[in-house]
Amino acid sequence: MNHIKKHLNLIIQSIKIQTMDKLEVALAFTFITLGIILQFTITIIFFKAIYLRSATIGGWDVNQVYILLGTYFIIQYISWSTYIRGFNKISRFIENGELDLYLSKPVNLKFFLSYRYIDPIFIIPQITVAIGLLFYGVSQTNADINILSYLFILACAFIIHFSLIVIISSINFFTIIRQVDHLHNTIFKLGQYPITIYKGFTRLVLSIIIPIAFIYSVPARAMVGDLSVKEILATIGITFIFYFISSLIWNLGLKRYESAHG
Amino acid sequence: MNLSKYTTVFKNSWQFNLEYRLDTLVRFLIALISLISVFYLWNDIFADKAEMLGYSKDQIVTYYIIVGYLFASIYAGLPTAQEIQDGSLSIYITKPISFILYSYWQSLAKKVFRLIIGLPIILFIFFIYSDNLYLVTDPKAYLILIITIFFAINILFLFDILIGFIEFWMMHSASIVMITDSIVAFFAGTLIPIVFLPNYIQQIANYLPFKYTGFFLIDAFLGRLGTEEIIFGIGIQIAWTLALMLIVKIVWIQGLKKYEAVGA
Repeated sequence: MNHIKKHLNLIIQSIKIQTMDKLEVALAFTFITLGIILQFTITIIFFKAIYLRSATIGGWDVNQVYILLGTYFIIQYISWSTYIRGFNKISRFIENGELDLYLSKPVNLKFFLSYRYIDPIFIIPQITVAIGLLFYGVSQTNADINILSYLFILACAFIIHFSLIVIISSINFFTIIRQVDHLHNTIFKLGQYPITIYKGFTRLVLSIIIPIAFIYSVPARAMVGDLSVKEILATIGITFIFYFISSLIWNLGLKRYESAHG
Repeated sequence: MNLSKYTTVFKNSWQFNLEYRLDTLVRFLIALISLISVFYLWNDIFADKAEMLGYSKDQIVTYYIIVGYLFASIYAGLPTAQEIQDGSLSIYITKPISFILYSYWQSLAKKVFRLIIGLPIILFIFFIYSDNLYLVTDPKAYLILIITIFFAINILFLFDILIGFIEFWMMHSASIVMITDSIVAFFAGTLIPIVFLPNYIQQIANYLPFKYTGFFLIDAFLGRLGTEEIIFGIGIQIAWTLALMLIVKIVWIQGLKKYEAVGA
């Protein structure tokens, strides 16, 4: 109980610090918000341009792709406003020795990093446009909507996404990668498209080895009630497996770091 | 103008980039990963079509490879805003050196270095996937590409430094970069060739310089433009370069007055 209370207190403090910080740079906030809306608009224009030339992409119509994109942006924005920022800083923390400071604190480092740089302000416009797009796609489709199934699969998607971020960030314990944020951003961007466009080995990789399919395409299909029980079970299985693997690699990396920096 | 001091800047910047070559390679690896979706997406779109708006599937994939390579090489952000914000600009303005030319030669070294480092990767892709790509065999096309890349580098540099100068009047101007980066990349045609966009967006693109830093270069290289169109395009590139040079000069003078007035 004390453990939860301690973390809750730290989360509140992190939110307070980040809120104060952002309010001080209100103008920057305005420009970044505009930038996000612009990037979002450009993505929509891109897909609109594609659908002008093709009725479907990988068998998905434009409304299904809006649901997919809405899901993609929800995951991207929430993860960037919460856990990604902390994990992206690992290479810097290792280089400047700050990681030792965090390791000496009586908190779980993985959990601490996932909320240390939580951003409650920037997420507001971001999540609004993402949910807006999701519901626009939902309102335009003729399929039977299954929100409960979507929310459940989305929760699994977040765990898989978090696990992949942890795995990629753990590489830093072995060798420093400065552009790690660009690297995982580019990998996750492959999920902006329906998984069905990918064929053969690539599809296998994106379904099992880096299971982007389960992060974006599967939740979007869950929303339109297109998932079989087998696929739901597979999602749950993949979620557990990846969380387990990520914990294993993280602990291995930490051990290696601690033994090297004694 | 004493060119030797700027060639030294070029050499130093080159050396710096050489030391950080792994970062450059990761940059290209990232660009390569993006190509995976491009390849499969256009494969899907072209499933029942031989061509679209005059592009064959091979040309489209080649377009993305070259635009990805070019932009990963020649679109490199400048630290101008940071230098104004932290006052390190003062180091340059007290020296017998032009800050703008200094920045130009420094960024030129970075861009040329990236173009050279990325070239074997591009050649390797063409070697492996030659059946799915459009191989340009006309030597003139390569010459045109080099000329147009040179002007594209100049346009992007001038635009970049101009955006950096905003810091003279506004703190935290770096947040604007997120907007300008998206605009530049979009109108340069890195996301999709401009001709695929709705007409009104194509019209907007015609009035901006960015089309001439990506889309135009590759269309000319792929042999999709006639001689007159290429000469006209290069003329537009030169016109934009001159116009931006003038604007940069004016903004620099005004900005410097403001910078010196606050005693930085």
